[in-house]
Amino acid sequence: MATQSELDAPAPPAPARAPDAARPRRLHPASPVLDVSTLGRQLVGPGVVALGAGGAWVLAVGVALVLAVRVLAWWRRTYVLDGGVLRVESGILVRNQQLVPCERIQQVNLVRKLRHRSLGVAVLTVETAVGGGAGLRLEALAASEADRLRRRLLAAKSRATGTVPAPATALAAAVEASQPEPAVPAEQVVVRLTHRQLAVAGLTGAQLLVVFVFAATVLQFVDDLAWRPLRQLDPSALQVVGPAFFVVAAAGFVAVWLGTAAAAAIVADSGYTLSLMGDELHVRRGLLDRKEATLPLARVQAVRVAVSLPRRLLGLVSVRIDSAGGGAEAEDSRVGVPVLPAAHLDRVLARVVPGIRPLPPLRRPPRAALRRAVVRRVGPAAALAVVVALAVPPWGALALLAVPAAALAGVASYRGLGHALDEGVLIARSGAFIRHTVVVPLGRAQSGRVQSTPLQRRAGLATLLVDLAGPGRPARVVDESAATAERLLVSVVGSTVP
Amino acid sequence: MWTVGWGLVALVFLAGTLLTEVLIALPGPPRLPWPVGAASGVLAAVAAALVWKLPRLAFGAWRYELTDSTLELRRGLVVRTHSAIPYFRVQHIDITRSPIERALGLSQLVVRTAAATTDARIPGIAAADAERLRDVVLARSGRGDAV
Repeated sequence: MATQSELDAPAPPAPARAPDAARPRRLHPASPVLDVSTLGRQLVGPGVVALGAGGAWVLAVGVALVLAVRVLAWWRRTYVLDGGVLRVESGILVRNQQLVPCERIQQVNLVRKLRHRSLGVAVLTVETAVGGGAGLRLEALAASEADRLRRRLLAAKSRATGTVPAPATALAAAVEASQPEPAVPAEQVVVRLTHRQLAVAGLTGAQLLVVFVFAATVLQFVDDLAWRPLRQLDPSALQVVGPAFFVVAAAGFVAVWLGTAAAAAIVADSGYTLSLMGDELHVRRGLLDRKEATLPLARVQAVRVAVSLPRRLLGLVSVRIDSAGGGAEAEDSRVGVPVLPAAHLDRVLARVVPGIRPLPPLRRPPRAALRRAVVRRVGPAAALAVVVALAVPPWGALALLAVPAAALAGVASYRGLGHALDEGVLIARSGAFIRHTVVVPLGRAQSGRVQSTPLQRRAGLATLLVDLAGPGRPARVVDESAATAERLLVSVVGSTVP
Repeated sequence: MWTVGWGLVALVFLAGTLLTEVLIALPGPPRLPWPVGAASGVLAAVAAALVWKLPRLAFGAWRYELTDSTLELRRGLVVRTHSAIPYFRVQHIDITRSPIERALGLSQLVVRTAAATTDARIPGIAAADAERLRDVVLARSGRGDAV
């Protein structure tokens, strides 16, 4: 798989590296102190004892002991990529050997947090489909070694799964092994985001809510510190500031709020690049903490497109690409596009799901689904509103306003529903204010089910759920006619080919 | 096509469970005025009828079926579910037996795929059937990486 440019390049510097590649290696010497969360946990014990015994030297001995154990653990922990299997050995008393066959790899991630970048190291995680995607974590490797190991893992994976033919002869295999690292395929950029686009993403995304959490914490803190002196303040002092002050203060708060949200998005995703290298998807992002995720195209289980109301007005979408690896909360290994002009969606999908056609118009569920969507929301809202109205006589009646609001939400939710079955993919959309569209290649459905509640059955409706490998939620076709749902179930699980 | 129902004993198991629940929910009429006692008596009678009837209905709603390429399960009285699991997606199969199930000679079969959300458990099948079913499904699941 040597490319022309590689053949032109000078010969590999040291053929003597071949045996070296199969020798177990240790992690970077700074590793014992880099895993700060574990280190922190382990230091709690000595800290508590030192507080109880009340001696600085007790603390010193405790810390020294913890560090000694961690250095010993680092000494014992070795990794080696040998014959298409990544083998990690560890353990001081209980010896532990972890084996990851390369053909099982779902995703490979590189994370360089600030502390790693300052030392020139990186954390490499290898995700498999086992146990909801809990994978192997190597913290930390020298950045160049992490990069090299990642390339070798992915090359071994492609060979093992037959995407790239294995070397035909023993000689060819030896030649390949003697090369310092596998050839790097040319990179084709699919999406690159500017800071301005990221700022828009922050202003229309979840970062807005993060600020509320932050503000609540700050308020709590300020409350504890400053409330008492404030209460002793003369109320007449407030009259001096006047209403203009409050307007300015409110405007200032909103400016800080929006600024923080935009900044948070830029810090998280600065330099965002989604690219294709050969048959691998590659995401690089982050201003302070650099994160890289590599996902073989053959491992894409589903593509999820989310559109919130403000983003719909601006013609923007966000995209998440699911593999079977990765925990549901593994923020570091997220593969997706935080914000994307809706017009570019088809182009990105075509690169991520080979063979997909531009998304067809979606089919709306029958009219009965509209009544179902409205009743489903109005029912509980009305019950609650009546209780509140009766319990709190004069003002409780305001709760009745929740009933028309629920009805509107129901209509919005019906308008968000839709599905299509097209050229080997199932597309399902739902959601009232944030519309979620799931694109599932049919060959990826693990299993499926059709569910119906009594009220759905009375309206002749049912919901189809398609289970996907990994920790992700099932794709849902909500409130489709029962016959359509059953027909979809047959095509979803029936068209899967071993 | 090979359709099999539960064993009749499953009814006893379900009825027993439901009965205990109802008894816990209904503490008898200890020294209460007669209307309350009568009402609770009626309730108890209704509950007893339900205990008798519900497991039969639930039992009647349960079907599992081995088609050419999928394992299909149909179940549920209130929320009705029809699941389909292609054989080649099956990763592994568990057979579990609780004490009550053991006493009645029953097993529960749990089929797992690479999706955490796949919901395929068949409760209350005769122990021998469970093992035969497991072997059939595993034989049809074939080899290879189905993720």
